[in-house]
Amino acid sequence: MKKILAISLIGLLSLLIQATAMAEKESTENTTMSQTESSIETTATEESAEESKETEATEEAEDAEATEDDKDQAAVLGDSIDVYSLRGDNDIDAASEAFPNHRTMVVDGGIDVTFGDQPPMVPHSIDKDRISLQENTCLKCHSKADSKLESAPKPTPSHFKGRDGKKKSKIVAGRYFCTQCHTPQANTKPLIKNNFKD
Amino acid sequence: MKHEKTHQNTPPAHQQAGFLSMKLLMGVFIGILLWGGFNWSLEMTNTESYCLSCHEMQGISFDELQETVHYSNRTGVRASCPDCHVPKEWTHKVVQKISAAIRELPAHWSGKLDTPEKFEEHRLAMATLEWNRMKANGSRECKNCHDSKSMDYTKQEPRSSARHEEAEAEGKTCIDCHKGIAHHLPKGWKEASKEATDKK
Ligand code: HEC
Ligand code: HEC
Ligand code: HEC
Ligand code: HEC
Repeated sequence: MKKILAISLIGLLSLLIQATAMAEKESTENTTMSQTESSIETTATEESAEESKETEATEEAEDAEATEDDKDQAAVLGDSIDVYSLRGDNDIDAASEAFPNHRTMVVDGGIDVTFGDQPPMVPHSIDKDRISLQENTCLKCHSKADSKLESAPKPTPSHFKGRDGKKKSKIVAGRYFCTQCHTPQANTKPLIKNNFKD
Repeated sequence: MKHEKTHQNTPPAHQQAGFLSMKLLMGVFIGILLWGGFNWSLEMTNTESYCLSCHEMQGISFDELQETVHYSNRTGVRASCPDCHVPKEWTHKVVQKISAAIRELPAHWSGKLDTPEKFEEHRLAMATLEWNRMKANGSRECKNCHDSKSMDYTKQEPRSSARHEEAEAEGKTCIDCHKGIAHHLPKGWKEASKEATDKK
């Protein structure tokens, strides 16, 4: 009984110590934060001032050349030059266009393949799955051992064949990164017409 | 206070009673201080920033949490470290706090986890501890937010609802199937987790 009391007292004490340390840290953190912020600001403005001095001179020289070049190109391409980057034609300092938000398709029973030997597409979200040296969360359900319990399709025998053509007990390295071949789908309009025939 | 008044009307017992009530008052005062300090400590040590005062050193747990649905999602509800790792209920919370203080503080001071490599090396052991804890309490912390009574199976993916219905029948709890929901899994997690799950 005494032992338990002593131990919990020590526990409580250390808890108190930690809490006070925490409270102190929070108050000091707040002050140091604002200090570092302001110091960052000042160095930034100093730097940019120096930079602009340096670049002004060289830019002027380049400007003259650039206008000549532009004229040459305009002559070839017509009056206006329409060059679009991947960001579309919005300004450099404007925010890029929002990426269309498409939900992952969930298809009970899976998505039919369109040709023989096609790697089947993933009929569910894989947002929270991770594949790394340590873990492959797809195999939580799709491994040989778990596929039956989880009613998840088991990888075909080709996934267990090594480069030497021999059968292995585990998925071989060349097939380990599932998403190289199997990807989830979204219900979107195709960007271009697909003429594929099997 | 009432006592004091009645005692004042009876002079013979006055001095003794005054002393007693002083003692009582002192006791109450110290009690309030201790209690307040204790609860204040509990509060202060139950914030994410407190956990991160140690666990940020490696940055690992928090960085990994940030990739998951429990940090950023459709509805904007998020889980913080204590939400999953510290019980909400008072007695369980105190027990967990004291045992954590006894184990984690010395380990911290001895620099057990002060590099990512050390953390990675130790991760499986730590994860197993958490799995066993959650298994033993029926994933109580998950259920603070995820109430299976409020879960509408018809709104879930078929693969989710199918397993959840079975799980209820088999008496399984969330952590049996949802390992690695907030952090990456260590190498060898599958074998170790099978053991933790089978233990019942
Ligand atoms: C004093 C520094 C420190 C603080 C503060 C701290 N931890 Fe820890 N934590 C550690 C150390 C060191 C370990 C490794 C303990 C061991 O296994 O030897 C650890 C281990 C863990 C584990 C692994 C499982 C286990 O029981 O060993 C979890 C989960 C955990 N901490 C969660 C938290 C949460 C949640 C908080 C905030 C309420 C927190 N920690 C606050 C230092 C700290
Ligand atoms: C603080 C509340 C909270 C706690 C505690 C919590 N969760 Fe969650 N969980 C959420 C929220 C909120 C979402 C998803 C919200 C959304 O999808 O918009 C979620 C989503 C999930 C998902 C779905 C993931 C996906 O990809 O859709 C699983 C699985 C899950 N939680 C399991 C757990 C488990 C297991 C635990 C216990 C270790 C737990 N949660 C603890 C709040 C919590
Ligand atoms: C028998 C295993 C099992 C148990 C036990 C289990 N789940 Fe699940 N759960 C799954 C599977 C399988 C999925 C679908 C795949 C995935 O998301 O990992 C899933 C999906 C989910 C989802 C996402 C639902 C969706 O479709 O959007 C949530 C949230 C969730 N589980 C929470 C819980 C909580 C909370 C508990 C504990 C009360 C729990 N699960 C217990 C197997 C289980
Ligand atoms: C949604 C619930 C949830 C949240 C939020 C959460 N954890 Fe965890 N944590 C777990 C689970 C479950 C485990 C057991 C191992 C696993 O399954 O990944 C775990 C394991 C750990 C471990 C053991 C080592 C490891 O990686 O497995 C540490 C340390 C830890 N958590 C710290 C933290 C810290 C610090 C935070 C806050 C930044 C945090 N956790 C937030 C659920 C959570």
